[in-house]
Amino acid sequence: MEEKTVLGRTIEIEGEIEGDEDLVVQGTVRGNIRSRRDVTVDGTGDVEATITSRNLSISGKLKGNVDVKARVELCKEGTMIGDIRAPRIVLADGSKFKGGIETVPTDG
Amino acid sequence: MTVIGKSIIVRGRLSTEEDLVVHGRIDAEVRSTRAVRVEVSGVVNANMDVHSAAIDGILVGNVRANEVVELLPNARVVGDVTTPRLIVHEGARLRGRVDMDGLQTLEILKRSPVQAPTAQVRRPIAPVSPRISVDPPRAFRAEVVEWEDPEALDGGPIRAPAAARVAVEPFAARVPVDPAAVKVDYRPPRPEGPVPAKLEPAAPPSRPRPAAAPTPKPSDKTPVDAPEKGGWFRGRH
Repeated sequence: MEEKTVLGRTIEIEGEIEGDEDLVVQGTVRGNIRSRRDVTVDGTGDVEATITSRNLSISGKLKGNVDVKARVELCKEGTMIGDIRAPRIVLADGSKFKGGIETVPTDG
Repeated sequence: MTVIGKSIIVRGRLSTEEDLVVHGRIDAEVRSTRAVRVEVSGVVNANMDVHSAAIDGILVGNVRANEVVELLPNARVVGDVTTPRLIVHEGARLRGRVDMDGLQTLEILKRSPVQAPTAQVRRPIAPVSPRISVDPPRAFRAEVVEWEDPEALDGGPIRAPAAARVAVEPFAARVPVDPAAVKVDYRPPRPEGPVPAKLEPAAPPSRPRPAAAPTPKPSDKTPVDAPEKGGWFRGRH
């Protein structure tokens, strides 16, 4: 039962978010997100930030570069503008993406 | 409802229109149109401008609420509180000003009958540090007592993700103090000096005593004959 942080739909954060646990963004974030675990941008999420995490799953809007240790998944409803650096990348059919992709070897 | 987990640090600005529960650390100004709850492990290091607040953790910053502010038993607050209603549970610690413009409701929950019926936080530990009370020029009066150990802010079971050692300005530096209004009441540790004269019961100033009669000293309870050294408490019961 790990704790999960959920930023609700009406949340607006400007600045940095740093954490060691799963993060679900349903609101608006501008700035920087660093997590050692999984980050999820939900359908209502609107993120303009640099994201560093273990896994990343995007179902909303993301604008920014991401540096992910394991896997990035851009879901069907997701849109992303920015560069991706990750070992594994999944772009689902129907998603919109604009930016650079660099697959890097898995660390460890 | 938004839940900020224990290991999360948020810096910058945070605004929300739903309930917020904080288990982690927020170095961001919090603005909310609903309720904000700071849990035991939560640390808020900025001002809060909310509809209502319930604080069970650490808050360093001012809080402005439209409805009510509740300081729960583990609350440790350094900052001003502006709210129409204030609830202070036993165990909460507050250092700052309280401003309740309307003075509508002030509830202080007393668990122990010994507790004095004022918004006063007392921590009896010897030796007693000087207590400074300032009479502010407004209707509501808040008396604060200096903590013995300001580091105690982050002691105990509270585990904040980052170091919860926040620098706290001395209270006197924040508030312009009128020197005439400051009364310093310093009580030295256990008095062992001479007994003040007014404590002695009324007795004739001098009594003729027969010099030959051997009056046993230990049973002599007359304070008038007490030696100059003031042995009122010394060896007598």
